[in-house]
Amino acid sequence: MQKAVSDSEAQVKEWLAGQGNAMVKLLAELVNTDSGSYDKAGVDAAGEVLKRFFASEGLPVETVPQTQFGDQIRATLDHPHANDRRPIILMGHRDTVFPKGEPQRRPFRVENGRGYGPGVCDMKAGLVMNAFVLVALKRFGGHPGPVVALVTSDEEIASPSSRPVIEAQARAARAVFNSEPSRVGHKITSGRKGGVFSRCEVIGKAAHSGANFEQGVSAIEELARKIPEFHKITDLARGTTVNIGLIGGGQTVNTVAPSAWCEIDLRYVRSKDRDEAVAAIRKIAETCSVPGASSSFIIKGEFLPLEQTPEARALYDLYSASAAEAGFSVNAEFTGGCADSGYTAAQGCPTLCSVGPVGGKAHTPDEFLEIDSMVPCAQALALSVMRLREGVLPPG
Amino acid sequence: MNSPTFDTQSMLAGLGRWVEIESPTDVPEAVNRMMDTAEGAYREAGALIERVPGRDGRGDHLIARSPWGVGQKGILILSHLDTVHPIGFLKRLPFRVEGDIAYGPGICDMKGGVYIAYEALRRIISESGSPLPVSHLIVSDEETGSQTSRALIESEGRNSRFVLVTEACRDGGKVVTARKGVGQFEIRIRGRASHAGSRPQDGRSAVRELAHQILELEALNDEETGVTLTVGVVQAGTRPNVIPEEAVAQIDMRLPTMALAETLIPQVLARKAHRDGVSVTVTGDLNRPPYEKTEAITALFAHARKVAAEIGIDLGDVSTGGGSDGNFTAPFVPTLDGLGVEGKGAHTDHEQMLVSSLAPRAMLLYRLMRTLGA
Repeated sequence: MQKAVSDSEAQVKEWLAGQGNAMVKLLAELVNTDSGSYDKAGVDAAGEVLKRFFASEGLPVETVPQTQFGDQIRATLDHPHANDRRPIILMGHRDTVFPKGEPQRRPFRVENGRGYGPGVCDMKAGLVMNAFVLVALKRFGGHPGPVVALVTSDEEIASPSSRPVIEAQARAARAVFNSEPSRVGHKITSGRKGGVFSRCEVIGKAAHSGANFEQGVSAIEELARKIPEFHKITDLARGTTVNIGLIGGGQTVNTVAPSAWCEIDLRYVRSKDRDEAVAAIRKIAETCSVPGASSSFIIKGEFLPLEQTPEARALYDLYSASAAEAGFSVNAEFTGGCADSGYTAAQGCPTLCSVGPVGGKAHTPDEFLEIDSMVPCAQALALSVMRLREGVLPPG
Repeated sequence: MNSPTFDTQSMLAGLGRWVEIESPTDVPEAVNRMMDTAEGAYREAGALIERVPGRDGRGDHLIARSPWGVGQKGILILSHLDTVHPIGFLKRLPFRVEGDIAYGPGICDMKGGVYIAYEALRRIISESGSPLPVSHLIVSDEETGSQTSRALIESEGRNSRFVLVTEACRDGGKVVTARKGVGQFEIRIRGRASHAGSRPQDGRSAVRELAHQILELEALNDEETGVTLTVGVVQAGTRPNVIPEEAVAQIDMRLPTMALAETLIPQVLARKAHRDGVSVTVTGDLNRPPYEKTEAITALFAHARKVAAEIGIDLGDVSTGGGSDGNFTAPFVPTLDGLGVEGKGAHTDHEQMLVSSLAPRAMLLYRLMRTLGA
């Protein structure tokens, strides 16, 4: 039995080693399929690229349809005889932050060993890697239980439609590997901050700023009073930060501003810090000091923190050992960036994030992928899945 | 008084035709259609016509002059025929009369005022007489700050002894003898962008700085001196999860006197950032100087009050925070404003005029033209 597994490991590693060009080919097709988060048709088209790939390898695919955003997709490699039937999840999202038409302007290209194009590392390369790992395991076996590649549609806008699917999947899962890009030097994520994304709208009263100045109520003045109060919630020692990233307001220069708004980005490290910070933001957002002004507050989206747990550490150790066999060493790094891994971790599912191929400059035109990292990262992930046998993770 | 009266119904019909020619400032060909109509009316009245071609996306300006006293300093009637209402607004606010109220885009601000001045000047030309020559300057861009007409207004003002502005009257018929100066500024802040989640410490928020600046600028409001300041428009940032690199705000400031303007405007222009790595740049200036009630303006008002009393009007005066083209001439030539029709709702979808104000206000303008300089 032990021998059979190590045979499978060698076969999987060897097969993946020969898939570099095929991976780049699938990646090119995926990057060139425009899939901004709000473009349902585009995100679904990117989903079709992967569905065709899974189907061609004989892997069953399920679709969870969505009305507003792209559909959720699940490809399953079953293992009917496993003792532990809880699936191991290879997770990734296929939406990008870019405006429509970006792949036409900046199609996939490779230069000096780096791949470029919208979403190339964040995270279409991770999806390609997950797909090839699933195929390798189907071909050569060795996985300790069912393995699911979950392909979601809306992570870049805080996963409004995929979150329930992700959470349900995580509750039933043995572990989650999220294939967000690892950073240069194979840095993977040991923890992530949680984030709450909200909006405050202020209503004042319009008046001509010359003739009827006294009758006006400036929504912009009220907003200007709130902004420093929001910023005071920042507590770097605790890892809590507030950014007012977007503001707008007013009508014309000579009209007292009848309305103004801001978007608030809160990040925090520990789950217990969330409620206090959100309550403080809400209080500032809903309390006005300019006479006659009123305001409202809504939470638009949220990511949960990825906190370090003994299970997560065991998963990291497992991955680190697998990586060493694939020929690289990994480093752990804490980040304030949020991702879907926070949702799965919050469900109590051991989660390791940023095991995707190496890249950087995400969300910018300079986004890149280190092409040669695709194969070793795929090998490390496949080995980690294969070695995730009973008893490897401490009881949760 | 043996002067003829003005016929309300014929003026209302003529004004209605003008209101139905839509003339938003930013559609020069539409403004020019309006100017063509006014020019045609004045040609028929026997006035000398000058037309100053439009530029920078604005329509032509029109000057109609009495045929006598050419080259002498006389009376300048100052008007505009552009409106704030966009093309098509007439469908929402058609010209219509309900009892004593007539509705329409620009009827009060200020086609009504231009129309009665035209009627008064037409009558004077037909009677061939006023002690001083009269020029009626009608500009095309008052509603957006008179950028293309300011120099013309100032040069015509300097060639005049009196300026009469046909903006709507206030508070039941009062004329305007003082207006605050208008300063408009743009404050532009540059910080440094970074990702709000992963690199918050690397950023310098332009929004943080802007809020600080707005609160300090608002502190310049002073009920005692009458200085007002409001930030009319703000905009900043690219994405909620990025520390905003750039922020822009537009500032409107009203200044009752030149002395206050000279003290406070340098303070606005000299704004500095509160934090390293952030820059603050303020541009702009006084775009309409304060229109202060000088002794000469007090005397001009006293004359107007006497003339008004002769036709049964108890004329009052007010000062206002709203600027007009009168601000450009008041610093150097006695200027009386608010000589137009009575109405309300300027710039709105219920802009209206009191029909019964047409004849007495036309008569007041007529009497001023007949008596000034006598």
